Amino acid sequence: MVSGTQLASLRRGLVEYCVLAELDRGSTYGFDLVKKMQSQGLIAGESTLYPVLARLKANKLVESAWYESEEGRPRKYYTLTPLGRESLEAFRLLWPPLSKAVSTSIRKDDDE
Amino acid sequence: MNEPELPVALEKWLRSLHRQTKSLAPADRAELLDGFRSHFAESVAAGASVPSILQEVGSVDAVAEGAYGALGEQRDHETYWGLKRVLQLAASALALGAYVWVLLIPWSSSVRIEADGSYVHSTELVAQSGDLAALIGFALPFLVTLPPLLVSQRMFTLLSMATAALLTVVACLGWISNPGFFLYAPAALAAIAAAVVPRKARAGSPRRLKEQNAFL
Repeated sequence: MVSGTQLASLRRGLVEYCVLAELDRGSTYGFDLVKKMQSQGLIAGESTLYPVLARLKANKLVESAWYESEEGRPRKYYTLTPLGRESLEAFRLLWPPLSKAVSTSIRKDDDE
Repeated sequence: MNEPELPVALEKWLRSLHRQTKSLAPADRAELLDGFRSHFAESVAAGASVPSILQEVGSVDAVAEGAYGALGEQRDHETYWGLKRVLQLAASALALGAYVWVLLIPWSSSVRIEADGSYVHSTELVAQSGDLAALIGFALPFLVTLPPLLVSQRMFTLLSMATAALLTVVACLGWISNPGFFLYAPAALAAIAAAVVPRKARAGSPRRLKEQNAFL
């Protein structure tokens, strides 16, 4: 049986690149990112996203800074770094064949 | 820019998360807390009630556990802890090697005149001297490398730094006293390395990132 930890690690690894892809569309703040990714079914909530964002920042794949929102509220914005873009591009090349290979590998025999 | 202020219950949740993530690297911890703070402020501004915000985010325990998982602290912690122990072990081995070498250094020499008028030179090694103070004194640099190997991680840093400092002093004695002390220099270098290697790595080093990308 696949353990919860294994699934969490697998999902987290993929979510990282989905966050990079979202930031590649433009800088945004965490709350907005949570809502977008929740609606796509990628994360359950903010408890998943902020540790991932902290990890991406530690990896120098994203930058973050406080800016004032239009309402005057301080808001933490996240921006993709050149290294993050490079990493995303590498993943974009790797993912399709890997995804196909995994799908083929785990397919049940009666699906063929 | 000032960070947004939050209702008391949310501040309390953040303080609790702060306490429970104390093993994270300070920058990662600050980033994590800032993210949640900004998120809570947006949620409050969007009209969400505090109980619903707390229900949505979940327990501090679960979030802290997720943060440790995401930031890979445990694994890095073990990796670097192992490296520190290996370096400390190397320092002990080198100090022991230096001690054995010191035992083989000539301690005193004498010249005896035989009945036939010939001179007989004899040399006594440190090991043969029977000088207990010297034998123990030269063994001390090796002995001080042992305590860090026997203590918990919490005490290791302090003791390994003390060991590194003592061995450095001993090695430097080579300039002003017996050059035999220079033999402890390699042990001192290993002990310094054991002391300065960070106990915890920054999560996500470029090397790890490359490994991750290579896997994917």
